[in-house]
Amino acid sequence: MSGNRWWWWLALLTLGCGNDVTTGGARDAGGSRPTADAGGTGDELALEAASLVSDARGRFDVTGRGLDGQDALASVAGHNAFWFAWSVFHPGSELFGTERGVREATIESSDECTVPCREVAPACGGRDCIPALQSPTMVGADDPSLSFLRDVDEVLGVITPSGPRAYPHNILWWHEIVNEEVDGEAFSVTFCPLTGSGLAFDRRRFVEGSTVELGVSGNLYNSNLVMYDRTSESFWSQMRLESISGTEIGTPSPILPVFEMTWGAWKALHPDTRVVSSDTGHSRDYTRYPYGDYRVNDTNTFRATNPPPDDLFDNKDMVFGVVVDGTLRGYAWDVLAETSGSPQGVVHDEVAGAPIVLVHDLRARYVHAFRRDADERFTLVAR
Amino acid sequence: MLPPALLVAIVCAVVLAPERAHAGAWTLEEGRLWGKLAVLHLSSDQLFATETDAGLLGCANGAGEAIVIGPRDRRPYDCTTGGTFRVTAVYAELALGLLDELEVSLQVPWIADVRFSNTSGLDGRDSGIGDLRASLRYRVLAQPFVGTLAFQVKVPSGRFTTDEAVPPLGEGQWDLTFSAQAGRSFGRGYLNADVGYRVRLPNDDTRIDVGDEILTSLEGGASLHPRFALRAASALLWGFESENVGSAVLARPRRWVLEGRFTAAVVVHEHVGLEAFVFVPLVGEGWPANATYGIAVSGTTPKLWDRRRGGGE
Repeated sequence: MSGNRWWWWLALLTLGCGNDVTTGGARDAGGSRPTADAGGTGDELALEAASLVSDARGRFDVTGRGLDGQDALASVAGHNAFWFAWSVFHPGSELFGTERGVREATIESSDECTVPCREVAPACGGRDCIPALQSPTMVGADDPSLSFLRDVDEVLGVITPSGPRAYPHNILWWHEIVNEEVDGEAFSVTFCPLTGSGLAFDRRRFVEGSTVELGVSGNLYNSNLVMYDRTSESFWSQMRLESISGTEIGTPSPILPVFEMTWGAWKALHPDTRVVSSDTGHSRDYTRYPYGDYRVNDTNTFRATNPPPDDLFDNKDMVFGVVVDGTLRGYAWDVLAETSGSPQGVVHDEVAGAPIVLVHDLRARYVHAFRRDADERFTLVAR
Repeated sequence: MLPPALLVAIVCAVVLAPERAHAGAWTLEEGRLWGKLAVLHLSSDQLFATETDAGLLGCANGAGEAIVIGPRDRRPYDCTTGGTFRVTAVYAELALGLLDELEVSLQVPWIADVRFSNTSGLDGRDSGIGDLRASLRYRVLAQPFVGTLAFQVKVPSGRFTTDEAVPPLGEGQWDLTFSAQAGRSFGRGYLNADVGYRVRLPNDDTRIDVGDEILTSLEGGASLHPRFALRAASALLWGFESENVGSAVLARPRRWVLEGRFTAAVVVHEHVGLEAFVFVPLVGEGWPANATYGIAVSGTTPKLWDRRRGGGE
């Protein structure tokens, strides 16, 4: 599928080198909601039946693939997370459609750690206590072994040169990291259940001259996954988007775009998808969410965080955050829906002077951002 | 992330080895062989919180009210998913008096069943040989105080993994322990004091240089009857902070525990004794907070040789 191939490469090129994440300091608040620049579909469409239509470039599906043979849309690096996590990792960052940005705070650093070393707390018995998967067995969407996966469960989706691939939360609850090598491309798909954050990274750009494998360090920082690379043994905070300790300290994480949505929506959009099988070589119950009521319990953030969460939203509300040229901007799901007037719609915005469009369908738990031209406008309509 | 089953497995399956039956600083007579079989059991659903556990959320007290965990609090393995760690282990130990002042011994643990389960669906269990310990003890004083110097090496022979779903059988690193013991009898009673330093080498699997430990104990005992004795001891194991090996320099919390140890011993034959014991953790950090129970049988052979007589008994 040439469209997929092009999209993949385009996304890599667009992202460029790692994003420098800054925290603290004065930033512009999000300002008022640009309601005139947003639109819901009115009649809610199934995602596979929806077209994202550009007045300049024609029709795309909601994952940015050109429906008329044109190049795919370029994704903006971003990810979902629980609000509490976004607010403690990115104090002072911009927020869309709110009176102010994320409350500011100072995060101490030292020569050894870019965050307070003592707050990088052990959470289990040591590195690889949660075993990362290496190039796991993939099966087709209709494979009977996928009985553990319901349509309402969520997946992280990546479109590779050889086609779309899905990484179910159900698998990632128990493994948190999947190291992949597909068609010569090396990437990792990661998910932290405690912060609700799913990110993909380019494994070739963590350590210069090496393709690294990522593993679970066994530590948490602000309840979020701390990874380590098996080459330099440096520690990498998933949501801080940098190495927090080790020889690579301060190096930005090479984030890649990833799609996150329900399995039902993903397989309807990509019937040819491959998906991680439950045959992982590990004995786990992939039908079972391991953390009880954690994802809906508003008071439980696993550990007290530093800084404390911003109380602008509830702790477990979802936010989609983007990174553009080092600028972070968060989009609370509720604000997106309110802006669009619908759980499904598009929102036009600018980040660091770069025009972007966000497409969302909260029923499918999907939010994604694409680059757009300055005057380009998108609508979401039935195909 | 899931609860620190690994830490608990290490502590429970390996570190809580049974005490020597012939408590005190005495060494075996030359030519005597001493053996002991002990069965220990621990079922633990709590551990003492560490400094880095402070701020742990999601726990509730008995009334169902949310509480924030502080250091040294007794906490569940995980506030959300709970968890119970169970281990039943058999320790076989043999000691031989090479000289009246010099004794060697070997301790072989068989982890009969080690299991960790919680409400998240984790339910891992295993069995097999644990970490072997070999010791050398040399008595330097005999009257009125008995004094002994000892050296012990722990071999990481037990299967080790960090996978939280598979309880390990060993700790994964070598330990070298240097200790001194001193004791004195008072009629039917005795007092004994131990102090030791345990060098713990880095664990190549976890890449953690586990902190060294200081071990102290103060023990008193009395024979209430020629065939019945009671012993009580307080034992403090104080661990230094661990560090991650490699380029990351993040420190890991110390672990320590103060235990009360209580033993009842019965002599059932001239050379055979039975005992029942319980180790009760009083306070600590990073250590299981539930008690360990055990029973043991020990016996001493007649002299296998006697240089003074030119043969055995």
